Amino acid sequence: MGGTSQGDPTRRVLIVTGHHTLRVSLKDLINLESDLTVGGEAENLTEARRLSGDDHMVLAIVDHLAFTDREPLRKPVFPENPHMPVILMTLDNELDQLKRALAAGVRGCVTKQDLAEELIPAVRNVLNGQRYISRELLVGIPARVRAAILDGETTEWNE
Amino acid sequence: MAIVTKRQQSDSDPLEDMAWLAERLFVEPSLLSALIDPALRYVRVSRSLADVLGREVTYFPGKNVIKNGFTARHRTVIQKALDTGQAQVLTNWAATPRDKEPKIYGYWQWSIVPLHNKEGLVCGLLLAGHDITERRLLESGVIEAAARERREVGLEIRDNIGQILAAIAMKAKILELKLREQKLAGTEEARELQDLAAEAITTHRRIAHMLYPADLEGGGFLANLRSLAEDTTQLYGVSCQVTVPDHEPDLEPVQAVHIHAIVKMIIEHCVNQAGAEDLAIEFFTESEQYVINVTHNGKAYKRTGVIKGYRIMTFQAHSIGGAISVQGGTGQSVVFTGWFPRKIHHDP
Repeated sequence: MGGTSQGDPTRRVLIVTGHHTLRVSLKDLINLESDLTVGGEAENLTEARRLSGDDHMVLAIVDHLAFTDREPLRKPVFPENPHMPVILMTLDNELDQLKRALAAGVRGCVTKQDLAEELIPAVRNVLNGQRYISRELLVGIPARVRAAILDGETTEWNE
Repeated sequence: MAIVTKRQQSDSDPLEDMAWLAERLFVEPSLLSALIDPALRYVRVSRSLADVLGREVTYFPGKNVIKNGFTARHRTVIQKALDTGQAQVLTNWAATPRDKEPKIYGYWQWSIVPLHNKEGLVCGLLLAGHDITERRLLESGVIEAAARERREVGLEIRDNIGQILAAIAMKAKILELKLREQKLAGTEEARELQDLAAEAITTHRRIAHMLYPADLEGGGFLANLRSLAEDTTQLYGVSCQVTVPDHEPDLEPVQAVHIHAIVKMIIEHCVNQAGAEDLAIEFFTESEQYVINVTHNGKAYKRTGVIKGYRIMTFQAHSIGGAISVQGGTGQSVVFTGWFPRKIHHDP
């Protein structure tokens, strides 16, 4: 399931969500990919930051609910590994949330209703240095701005 | 009844007669009372009202009512009693007489009773106010408890059910991939399961949105209002237009939560009770107040008492210094209007 690149070592992904059932399903889905493996699971950001120091961790998938007033979404999301790309799992298709995520350096945003279909493409895009934003999140954003976001040319915008 | 008898027996100035009768009323310490003339000047006030306003009883005769304990907003209600000759009721927020230092504020409900002379003309007003603070606190406690309950249900839906649905969708995806790899039947069903789960997530998100108090979403009052309109269209299949200013209003958080809840209750009434199919929400600023209109094309109810949630929305509006009214019907659109002060005044 999913292509394995010759000579491409298994890449470790960190999963951060406080919901056990969601965590298990994410793990199962990612582990189906032969070149990806879940290298760490965390229930909250504190735990995730401890695990993010692992140099082999190439990407983090973080539930938006992990961010709270005490632990807001800010740049860098993981100070211990500031260059590790982050994909945010979001429930709301709020423009403000997308803006905050991009301003914090998040590389991908996937809505929870699209996780099953879009998570793996999002992981692959982000690992290839691109951005990935769920289609639903881009509805209503002017085409010019949308293109700039996907090209990674902007972390924030003014309509 | 006693007032009428006295008036009929006397040829003297009716207001003086009223003042004499009101003396008996004015000794009641738990009741704030005042007699005012058609020019809205005090003729006489009770000791308890003088205490509330921090003056001697002798200070009041001839003074303007509106400048002593009432605001300009109340003028319209008092004036209406004068103009129509019909009794009116208003509620205000004032210092309670029992607590001078430190002052403790409370709610007072005022009955404004017009007094008529022999010719049937209004010759004055009798104001009688009683302390309804305890009742209001209980009412607001009930409203707060209901809001808390909705918030908890909303959080539970958002934080738990949404995750489980997302997990189901992913499990269905895994199943689809495994079946496909093993070339087994059932991939189409697994695919449909994913789509159903995704649809359930979308619906659950809208329901959770409807249940959240506005402060939870963090998108700002206007964004929440737009979102409420979108959710209304999606959930009920009705048209819901929204017109708002470009800039976010300077609402206190408690105002934002209450106004959002009021609009939500109005929408629920419009759709579920009045059978409206077209709704329009308009929010704007008018001098010292924020105004919100919800217009709909459904059934009009002449008696507000039968409008589902009307009492609660009225209490909520009062709790932030605002008011609600409903107008229209019989061939025209029905308009709910809410007025809210730009700043909540906790001082009379």
